[in-house]
Amino acid sequence: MSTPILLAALGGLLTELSGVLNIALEGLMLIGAFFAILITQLTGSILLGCLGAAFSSALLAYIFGFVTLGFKANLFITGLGVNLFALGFTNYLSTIIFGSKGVIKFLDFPELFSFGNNNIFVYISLILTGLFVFLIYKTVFGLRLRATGFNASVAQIKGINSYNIQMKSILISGALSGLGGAAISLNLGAYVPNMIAGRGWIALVAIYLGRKHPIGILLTSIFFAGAVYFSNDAQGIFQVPADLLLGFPYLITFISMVIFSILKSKR
Amino acid sequence: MNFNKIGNSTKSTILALSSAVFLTIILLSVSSNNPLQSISYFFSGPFSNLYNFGNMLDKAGLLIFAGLGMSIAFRAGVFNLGGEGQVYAGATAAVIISISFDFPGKFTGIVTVISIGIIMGALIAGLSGFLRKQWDTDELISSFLVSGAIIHLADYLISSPFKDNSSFLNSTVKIPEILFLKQFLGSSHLNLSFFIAVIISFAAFIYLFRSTIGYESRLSGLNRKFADYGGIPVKRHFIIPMLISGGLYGAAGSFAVLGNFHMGIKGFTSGLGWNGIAVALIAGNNPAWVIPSALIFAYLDAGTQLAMIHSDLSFEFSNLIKAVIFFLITVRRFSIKKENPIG
Repeated sequence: MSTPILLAALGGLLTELSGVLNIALEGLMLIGAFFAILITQLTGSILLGCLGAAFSSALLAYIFGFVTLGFKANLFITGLGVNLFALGFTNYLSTIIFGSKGVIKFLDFPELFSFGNNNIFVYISLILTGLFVFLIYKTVFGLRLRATGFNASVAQIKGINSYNIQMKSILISGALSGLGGAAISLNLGAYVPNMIAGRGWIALVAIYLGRKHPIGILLTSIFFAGAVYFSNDAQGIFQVPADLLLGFPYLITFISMVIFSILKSKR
Repeated sequence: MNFNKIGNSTKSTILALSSAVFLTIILLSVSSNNPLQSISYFFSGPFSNLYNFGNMLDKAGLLIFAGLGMSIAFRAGVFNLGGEGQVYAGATAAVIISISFDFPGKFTGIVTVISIGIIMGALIAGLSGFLRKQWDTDELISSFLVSGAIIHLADYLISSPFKDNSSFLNSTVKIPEILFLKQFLGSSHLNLSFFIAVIISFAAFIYLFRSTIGYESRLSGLNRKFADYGGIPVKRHFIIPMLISGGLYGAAGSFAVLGNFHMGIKGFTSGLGWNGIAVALIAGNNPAWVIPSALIFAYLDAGTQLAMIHSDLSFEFSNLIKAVIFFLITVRRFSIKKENPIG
């Protein structure tokens, strides 16, 4: 549903608030999706799969942050690098471990714990949303985070360790994106190459459309997910070809982005 | 001497390229049954015969177009991430126009088709540029999103209305022979487009470094506020660089169709968008260095492809190599300094 987007977007929100525009969400989600399937299959435990996903994405995010912050590399280029790396690495591992670059699906794969119509990820993400509101606006960490984002150099002078804050936010966003990716793959019970299909980017837009506030992001994620569902239904009703359907999420996100900018500039 | 934000650091370029080569060697050694043979294919493959050599040059030509476009965009401080879509759209438009109309003359036909491709790419990129100018919509994200949507649209066009049902590929019919660009090096794909690319790179250099408008563009990229106060019409330099880079991407796509593929195949231009960024970065965003950069990149690419084909390797590690290059090439400090926040 909207959960993967929400999870990734919340993580991205932290980095954005600290001043780091995280383009790598898509790649981090992909890594998470892959490792979730891999580790769940190896251990038989969904929990370990999720932890593995979060951990592996956080690791990649660490490298990303380290190169960007420590070695002063360009944020956007390294972000793109992460996305490319995720594509290549999952392809590589998939071939080496499973002997296939295609869809990975197992028999006897554990089912996701569900309550009512929603799986556990939905509840986790909702809890996290609330948690983040508290974290960002009511804790010292949140204050430092926002200060760093506002003007990192000044914050630095005032005694806040901006580097640490930004690194931490990058790590958390990595872990959450990995979780978001896990939400996608574990929900499906399989890994499909490039299954993130742009949702990492949608998460990025969701951060802006949600006015950089957790609740806003929650609403935006639901909106985007709803729009995608609607377009999926439309395939049945209007006989829209499959290829065009795949382009819909991008289109919807794009149009939302434009409308948002227009509204924002008229303010 | 001032360098733009992305900058031009030879050390990081050398670091990035040598790491890429190093990584390739490691990957080949680890995954191949015959590492030495694979590695030798990697290094010498592209030069081993006219076919490989010609194809490498042909690819380099396309990369030159892409890299020039991105250099101009980067210098203006504009991020065109929609390259993939712009190339594919330009190529698809070229194919569609080629197979849908009768062309009386070779020259007029080719010029028309290429122009359509350029316009297609320019419009798509220009849209993002316009949105940035008008409503401050982040062009990085918008260009990527538009590209994402366009790619699927083009996929659809090639797979459905224009599909050649007699072919087992997901492809269109062949374009009319009259529009082919003559291939002249053995059976390789090398054609006129490479030389046109070289000429365009001179034009790009003159534009960027020897003209007023290029100067304005560069200054806008270096410090937009400063340029604005200095009287430069910075708004223009959101749209113009996007139009140019989109147009060049579209040109690359069209030339690929006319000179190389001679038809539309689903996904046939994939990677060129990202490679264009890589080439521009390796060239330090300087048109003067785009030709060698494109050649180096084409060489690495061809080398890995040949090594993979001849070694029975089944995975694509070009993305991993590109990732390494992307990671390292914008590094500006070579010792770890932990007080380096962004902003």
